[in-house]
This record gives sequence, C-alpha cells and structure tokens, in this order.
Amino acid sequence: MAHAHLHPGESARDYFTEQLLGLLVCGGLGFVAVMMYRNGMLNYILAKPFHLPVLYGGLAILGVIVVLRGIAIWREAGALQALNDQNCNHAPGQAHGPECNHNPLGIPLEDDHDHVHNHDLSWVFVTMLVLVVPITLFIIGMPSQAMQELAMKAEMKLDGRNSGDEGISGVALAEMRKDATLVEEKNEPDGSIVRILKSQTGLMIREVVPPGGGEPKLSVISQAGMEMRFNDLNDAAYDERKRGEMQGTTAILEGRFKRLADKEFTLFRLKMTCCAADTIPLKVRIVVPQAVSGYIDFDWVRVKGVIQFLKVPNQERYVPVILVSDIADVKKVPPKNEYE
Amino acid sequence: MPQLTPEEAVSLFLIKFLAILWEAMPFIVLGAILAGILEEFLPQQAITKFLPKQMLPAVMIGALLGLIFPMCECGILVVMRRLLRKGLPLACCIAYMLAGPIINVVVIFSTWIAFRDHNIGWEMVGLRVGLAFVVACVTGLVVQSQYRKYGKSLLVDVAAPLSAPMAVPVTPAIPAPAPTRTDPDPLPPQKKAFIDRLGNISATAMHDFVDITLFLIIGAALAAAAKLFITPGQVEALSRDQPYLAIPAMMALAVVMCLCSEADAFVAASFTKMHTSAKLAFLVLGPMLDLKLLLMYTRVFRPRLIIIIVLSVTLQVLIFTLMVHLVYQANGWTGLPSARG
Repeated sequence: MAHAHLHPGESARDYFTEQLLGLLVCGGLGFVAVMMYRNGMLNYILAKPFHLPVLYGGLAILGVIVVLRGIAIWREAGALQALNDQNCNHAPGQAHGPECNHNPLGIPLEDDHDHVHNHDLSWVFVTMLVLVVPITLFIIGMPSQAMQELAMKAEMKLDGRNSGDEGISGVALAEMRKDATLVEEKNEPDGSIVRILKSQTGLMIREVVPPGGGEPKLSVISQAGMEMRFNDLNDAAYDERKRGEMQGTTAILEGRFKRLADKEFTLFRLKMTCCAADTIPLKVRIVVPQAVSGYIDFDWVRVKGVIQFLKVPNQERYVPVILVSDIADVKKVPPKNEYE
Repeated sequence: MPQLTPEEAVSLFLIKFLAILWEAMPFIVLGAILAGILEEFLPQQAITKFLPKQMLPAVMIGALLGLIFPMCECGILVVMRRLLRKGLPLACCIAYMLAGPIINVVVIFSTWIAFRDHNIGWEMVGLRVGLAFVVACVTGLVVQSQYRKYGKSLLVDVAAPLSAPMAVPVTPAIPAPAPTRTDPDPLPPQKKAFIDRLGNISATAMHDFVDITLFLIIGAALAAAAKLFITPGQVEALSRDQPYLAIPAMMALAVVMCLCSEADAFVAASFTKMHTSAKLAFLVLGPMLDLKLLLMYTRVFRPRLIIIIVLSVTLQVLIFTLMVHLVYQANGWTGLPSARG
C-alpha cells in the first residue's frame, strides 16, 4: 500500500479522469439498456424472459453506479480542493499523522494497489474504448431488422442439423393408397367413381376414377385446419404417441419459404430459446399438388395442409411433412416475428 | 462450409455478439452491486467464522453456497472475487464459483422443465447437480494444494485476500484472523456516514462492472466469431457418425456457445438424438468454462491457476460423463428421451 493516500496533483488527476470516464461509459451502457428495452430492439437478440432483466440492469447502472458515483466524485472533488488549500507539508516517506488527513472521504484508493495498470491512463482509455463498442453499435442502429434478416440467411446456410431428410422423395400418394381403407364410394352421374379413402397414417385421400376406367386421380383432402407451431410439430416427430395424434389432422403454418423442388419446399422459422446465440431453424417439409411459382426463398408464406410424419430412410427418425390439397392453400403473408 | 457473403457473416457475428453481451450484462450489474455491498459491509474474515476448520467440509459448503446465494456464472465471478478478498478460502471460492451457477434453485428448476417432456427431468437434474458438486469440490481441493505451494502468486492483486499474509494459508485451516493491518482505515467503519458508504459501494460496483464487462465484451466477440465456424448441426452430425466423440464434441460446443446456466438446459434438450452423457457434459462444463468466462477469469486468477482449473474441470467432466455413459450401457438404458411416457 505504497500509495494509500492521494497526492493532490498527478494521481488525483488520473483518478478523476478514470472516474469520470467510467461514469460516462457506464451511463452510456445503462442508457442503451433502457432504450433497447423501450424501442423493442431487444426482440432481435433476446427471448422475452430476458427483456426485463436488461431494463432493471440498465436502471441499476444508472441509479447505483452513475448517480451515487457522481455524487461521491463531486464530494471528493470538493474535499480535494479543501485539502489543497490546507497545504499539508511533510517530508516524503514520513508517516502521516492523524492531523494529516489526505483522504477525508475515504476515496477508495486502497484499490489502486490492486492493479498497477490503473495508474497507466492508457489502460483506462483502452478499457473505455472497448466498453464503448456496444454503445456505438446502438447509435448506428444495431441490432436491426435488416441485420436480423441477414443473420437468418447466414444461419440457414450454416445449418446442417435437420438436413438429414434429403433421402425422402416426394410423397407418393399411390403408395399410401395401397393400404388405405375405403370410407365412402360414390358413382357420379358422368360415370366416374369417387372414392374417399383413409390411409394407415390417417390421411384422407380422394380417388377419382374417370368414366370407363383408366388411371385414377388421387388428391389429399384437408379440413378447416388450425394454427400450429413449428415447435410442436418438430417435438411430435420424436414421440410416437404424439405422432399418432397429429397425423391426419389439418394444420395451418406460417413461416419462411425455401424451395426444394418443383412441388416441394421447406417452411421454416427460427426458434430462440434464450438469446440469438442459440437460435435453431425449425423446418417442415411441404408437398404441393402442382408446381409452386411466384415465390422466392425466404418469402413469408401461409400453408394449409394435412400433417404426416415420414420416416427418414435407414434411420429411426421422422420428419414432419404437410401435404397440401390445393395450391390455393399456399399464400403469401406479411412478415412475422422472426422467432417463433 | 457454405459460403457466406460478408454482410451475412458480419450480421451473424454482430447478432450473436450482442445477444451474448446483453444477456449477461444485467447479471454482471447485479454481481457488481452485490460486490460493492459485500466490500463495504462484510467485515474482513467474518465469513470464515461460519466455516468448518477442515478443508473438505469447507469446500463442500462452498459448493452448496449457491442454494443460499443463487448467482449465474457471469455475476458469480464478481461476487466471488470480493469474497476472496474478504478472506473466504480460495478452495471454497473456487467451489462456489464452479458449482454455484448449477447448484441453485433457479437452474435446478429450469433443467427439470427442459427435460420434463423427455421424461428424464429428475434424472438430468440429479446427474447435473451431483456431477457439478463433485467436479467443483475436487477442483477446489486441487487448487488448494497448489495454493499451499504458490500462495498469492496464483491470484491477480485485485483478488488477493487483503490481510492474509502468504505464510498463513499454508496450513489446511482458514487464514488466521487479520493481523494488524499495515494500513488501518482512516475512519473506523462504524463512524462512516451513510452517504460515504453509498459512495464506496458505488466505487466498488463501478470498478468491478467496468473491469468484468471489458472481458465479457472481448469474450462475447470471440465466442460470436467461433460460432461462425462451429454450429450445433456439425456437432450433431459428428456425434452421429462417431458416437465416442459425442462427449468431447458437446464439451467443445459448451465452451464455444457461452450459454447462460439458466437457459442451457433448453438448448441441450433440443439435441434429441444425443446420449444423456453428452448432454450432461454440455450442462456441467458450460457454466464452469466457456470463452467469455475464460477471459473473465483473467481478472481473478493468474495463468497458472487458470490452466489448473481448466484442466481439472475438463478432465473430470470428460471422465465422469464417460463413466455415466458406461453405466448406462451396462444397464441397457438407452440414454435417449423416452417417447413412450
């Protein structure tokens, strides 16, 4: 503790420079935290449960660190002035007597022995420079919608997690028709036969046999449908009981479009567990009866169709697939929140 | 690896960087303010009075301290550093620092929630808490033996116990009560005005906040950069092809991802095809060691001690999770989420 007291002059100036710079930067960080909470910027990087902590953290920086420290520095500066006026004289190295009170307010200079570098103002400047980075990013508008969109595209390029489903070819309805049971059969006035069939996996199929025989036409029958979450579908894929419950029901999903083939595309959304550092894409494969056109990758699309879970060849794994009965059940929609 | 455009790479980097940074920030503030209060109000050596004299029980108490003072890994470092200065033995501090972010009510609850749907909720909680406890205690004792040899030179000055001279902690007991301080307080603590106390609390809080946030920012940047190259998808693919690499791969992922201990269970649970042992390695190592923590450790420990801690923790997690894996195999348990619940 060689320098446990404050010499009016060089080190005092350093001390106050450091304190004021620290005050400024902490104030900036606290302000940014509160502002990001208020203007919704946190939506791009953090899951909801972490929003309030950021607000409280920002307020705590402003209240406990900035305001209290500001008052303390102000008082210390006043005391220092008084001390300078006192003009205490003693030989260097001589012990301070009780009358020689250099540190009337307990300026926490004991701390200074901790880090030699603290006396080096350049270290202080480097520290502050680094701490200013998040403040600067906020000032230039980061995080932003555009940045999130670019990051999403990058994420999709890097993602390899759910790509094991390449092995699944387009769903062959004819294949499913084989073990289907007949629900209803009608003879139309024009001579064609219409059969309603139910596959083992709960899929309702309409089969139209043209008059006089010939190749029957198969199509999927969907119901009114209800909104579903990508998360539920992906979870269910791992659970035999849930798969059984969901198969055959009609789902409505909104997500981003990514083309696979003429009559197939992936619909996906990002899932954020706690922060943008842990996002994973949740995907559902969509199979449509005719070629889809007019969509480019990453368009927001609404899809209605029947849920099926298809086994990945050579693996004990299922992926969710949605079979669309009518191309009109695929529509463009305005963008939604990136994270489900 | 697919080619990213520069804009995409920068955006991905920035969004991950900002996410890690702002998720941790509130907890560092909390830690810094607690550190300020501890520094001002907790008398030197007071905490050691409540600890048993033997090292092992003291370390075990340290590992369980998180049940009373829950902190996550970002905040705990700041608090731990002040406790160390206040005379809490280094071994206890290490045990608290390593186990605290896992053995606390919040994390136990979130782990249970994350794995509840997979029907392995209590299994994961038990294994995670048990393993964290063992790893933290053993590391604490290892560090203690090193501390006996090298003393305070293992610590950076800001973390070194204030009034425990180097000779004292040589015995397994707690550092002796403060000898006469070379630098008595100018004013006895009782006589300090309230406003001065607030001033001192804010001084410590600001100092610690700035000090740790600096390394949080650098660590977050490192982690965000690393994430451009290592993705969960790759790890899953790797461990599918080479199952014996699953545990080391998940450990590497934990170090790179820098997740917070309250949330990492949900990410682990999303690896549905991963064996319990690999998830366990991810969940125990993550709160003890990741890129940002590594950077933050430099504000408490000297490189020699950091290497000791890193080695002790990684080796133990590797060995113990391998043992868990073998036990599962021997009993014919799948170690996968059970679908038929």
